[in-house]
Amino acid sequence: MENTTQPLLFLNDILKEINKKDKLHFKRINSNIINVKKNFPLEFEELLDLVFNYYNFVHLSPNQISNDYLKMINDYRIDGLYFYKHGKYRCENQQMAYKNVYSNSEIMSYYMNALLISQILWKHHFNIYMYFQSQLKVLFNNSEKLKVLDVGPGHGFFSYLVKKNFTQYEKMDLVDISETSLLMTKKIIGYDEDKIKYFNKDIFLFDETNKYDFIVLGEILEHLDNPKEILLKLANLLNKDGMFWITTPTNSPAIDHVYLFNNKEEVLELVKSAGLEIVDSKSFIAEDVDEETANKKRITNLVGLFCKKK
Amino acid sequence: MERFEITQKINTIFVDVLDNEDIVITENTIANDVEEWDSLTHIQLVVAIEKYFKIRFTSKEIQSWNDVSEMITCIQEKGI
Ligand SMILES: C[S@@+](CC[C@H](N)C(=O)[O-])C[C@H]1O[C@@H](n2cnc3c(N)ncnc32)[C@H](O)[C@@H]1O
Repeated sequence: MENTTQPLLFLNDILKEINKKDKLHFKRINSNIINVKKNFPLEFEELLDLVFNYYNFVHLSPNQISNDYLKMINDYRIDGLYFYKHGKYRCENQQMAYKNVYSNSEIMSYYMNALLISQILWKHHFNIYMYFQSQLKVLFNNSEKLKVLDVGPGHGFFSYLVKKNFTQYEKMDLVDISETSLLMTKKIIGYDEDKIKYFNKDIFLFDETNKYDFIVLGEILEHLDNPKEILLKLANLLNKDGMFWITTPTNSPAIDHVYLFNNKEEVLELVKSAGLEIVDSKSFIAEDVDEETANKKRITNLVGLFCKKK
Repeated sequence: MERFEITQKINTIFVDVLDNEDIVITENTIANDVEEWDSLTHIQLVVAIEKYFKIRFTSKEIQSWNDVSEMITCIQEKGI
């Protein structure tokens, strides 16, 4: 116990609460964490620190966090039941998601608190950061003066990693439709003179015309009625040699998921149909199964991909 | 339906959904006995059980199940 840090103790308290309240779910995440910690001990602690600092800042106790988290898990249960029964998502369109979720600060608050902890509790979430970070170092030179746009940053972990690895970045614009969500982003990313700007806006109303070198679109496409539209809009904001980072899950029922991707190929096809070329892509499956089984059993595959203009 | 009979039907469903022929379910089985039985597969199991018995559960009902015995009781309460 001696060298167990405060964030790790805090996490243990959260896990204990989850175990007390939902044994089946605890079983699922506990095996996840053991693996992640073993494979990426340092990185795990780094992201855990971010999570810990945020919860500390907003004075949330392990008990409250476990309650928020399990509310989200309960929502998943309801949407999952619907999905496995009907083969489609319950939330019919973007407007319904806005009305039921983004504009409702009470729901948004537990949802964002829950999503934050899921970034380290779920191995497909955690592992995608590891892939993202290692690919960033391959695709960009670390002295590049990047102009970055993050659309729907939420917790903002992707931008955090960009900021950390590219200290020479020129600017970072973060656009989110939800105020609650953006408050979390601000706490996690912070400010850097006037290099970082936050916009509480629907991305479709974001009227910036200057181009970016790197655009982050993490878990947004599945929230939209017509995901191609946003790709076309953002492609216009991308420099000729600029790079996109896109993530989106397949088969992932949730209160605000609208657009269903049945498999990774459908994601890649959509991206290509918007005139983009895939540079590298990878699957992060929520269970220990191969991609074929995941598709057949409709298990979430979080797809991460880098692409650029043709 | 007798509890024993329901258990047998459930066994078939577990084998099928969890893709593991070696699974043997008894009335005393708890979630910890079956490695693949977690919160996600739970939902898939529930949907398969609903389909097979032509019944419906509420999300409250299924949230509390941690073992086969509770499952059977709940199925019987639906008039099976
Ligand atoms: C699931 S979170 C994604 C968080 C993070 N980027 C990630 O990859 O995990 C989705 C975020 O997108 C925001 N969002 C949804 N629709 C949007 C829109 N039309 N414009 C801007 N932000 C939007 C939501 O408020 C939320 O913060």
